[in-house]
Order: sequence, then C-alpha cells, then structure tokens
Amino acid sequence: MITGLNRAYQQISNDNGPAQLITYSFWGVIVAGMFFRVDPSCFPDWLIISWGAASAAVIPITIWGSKPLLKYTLLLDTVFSAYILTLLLMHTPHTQEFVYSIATLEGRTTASRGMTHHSISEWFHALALVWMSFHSIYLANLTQRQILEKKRFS
Amino acid sequence: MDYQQFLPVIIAVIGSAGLWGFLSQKAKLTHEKNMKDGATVAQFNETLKEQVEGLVRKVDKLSEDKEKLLLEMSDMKASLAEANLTIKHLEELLRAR
Repeated sequence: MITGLNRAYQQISNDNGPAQLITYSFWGVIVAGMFFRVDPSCFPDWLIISWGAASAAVIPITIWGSKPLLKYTLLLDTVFSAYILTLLLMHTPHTQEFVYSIATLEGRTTASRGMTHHSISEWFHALALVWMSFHSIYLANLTQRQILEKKRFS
Repeated sequence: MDYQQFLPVIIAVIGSAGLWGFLSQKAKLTHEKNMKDGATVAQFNETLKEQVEGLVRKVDKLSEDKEKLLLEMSDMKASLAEANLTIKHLEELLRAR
C-alpha cells in the first residue's frame, strides 16, 4: 500500500505533458465564469475577465509558447486566484448576503440581516479558489523543474 | 486611501510569493544536488526522451567508428599477411644461397 502511494506521489510530482495544463486552463475559464457578476461590488468585471483570460492563455502558451512564459502565466493565475479568494473571504457584507436599503431619519442607508457566517455555497466557492491556487502553483513548479532538468541534460 | 482596501491584494501577493519562494528554492536545491552528484536519472518523460535520443546518436556514432576500425584492422591484417609472405620468401631465398 505504501509502495503504491509512493509510486502515485512520484507519478503526480513528476507528471508532464500538456494534458493537465489544458484541463487546468479549461477549469480556470469555467471557474472564472462561475464568479462573473456574482457580486460586482466584491469582484469587479475586469478582475474576473483578467483571471479568465490568464487561464485561457495557458492553452496557446502550452502549445506554442516557451516554458518560462508558461511558468509566469501560471504564477499570474495563482495571484489572481489567491486575490479573489481573499476578496471572497474578507469582503463585507458577504457575497451572498441580502442587503436592504432603508430610509432612516439620517436619510437612506443600507442594512443587512446580520449574517455572521459564510454559507455552504460560499465555502465551496472558496474551496474552488483554494484548489485553483494550489493547482496553478503546482503546475508552475512542475514547469520550473522541467526547465531545470532540461538545463541539466543540455 | 484606506489600507484595508489593499489588504486582500497584499495578502494574496505575499501568500503566493511565500509559497512560490519555498517551492522554487526546493526545486533549485534539488537541481544543484543533482548537478553536483552527476545524476543521470531523468524525472520527466520529455527529458528521458531527449536522453534516449542522445544515447541513440552516440550508439550510432560508436557503431560507425567500430565499422571503420574493423575495416582498418582487416586492411592491416592483409598487409601483415603480405609482409609475412614476403619475409618467408626472402628467408627461403637466403637459405637457397
């Protein structure tokens, strides 16, 4: 069992080929689309579009681009994912919280229901972002190791 | 400008940079260790393929060199046999005198 786990770990850490980069790129675009206009006050359109574009750029760069360019694109994607994750977790009111406009003696103001916890859906959105961040940094590291190994054999 | 506005981007950049720094350093140290040890084992199929292609080229060159050497050796054997024959003939001539 340990041998199997060790073999699986070695295969994952030394995996190469464009398949998982292309899969990552598709998922990046899909997840970005899932966040589009969920809460424009939290995630501006330009941010989500830039994130989706960075993920989409991984496919052409994998096929035609250089390895260092691919590494930097993946790192940019990591920063985008991490930034959107921190925005999701730190933004008040929460992204799915209902906010009401009410008229008071001081004029119009906003009020919320006082939701103190993130919803389950929000936690899974956060999990998707955590996964995207770790996946992109793993792929960037894999690319860097490939560059270094190529240097070793050249 | 409220600093809290920039807090998410600061956390994201510092967090990503920290994790990347750790992974990058680890990869560089492994690379340096492999260079120092002269490790020849490839981690990735891509480099393994390149390594195999390089070895095939070396084997082809070695086979070619071996063929040339064999040809040269057979020429030398022929020359030696010819020289031996001449020596024997000369010896016989000397004995006949």
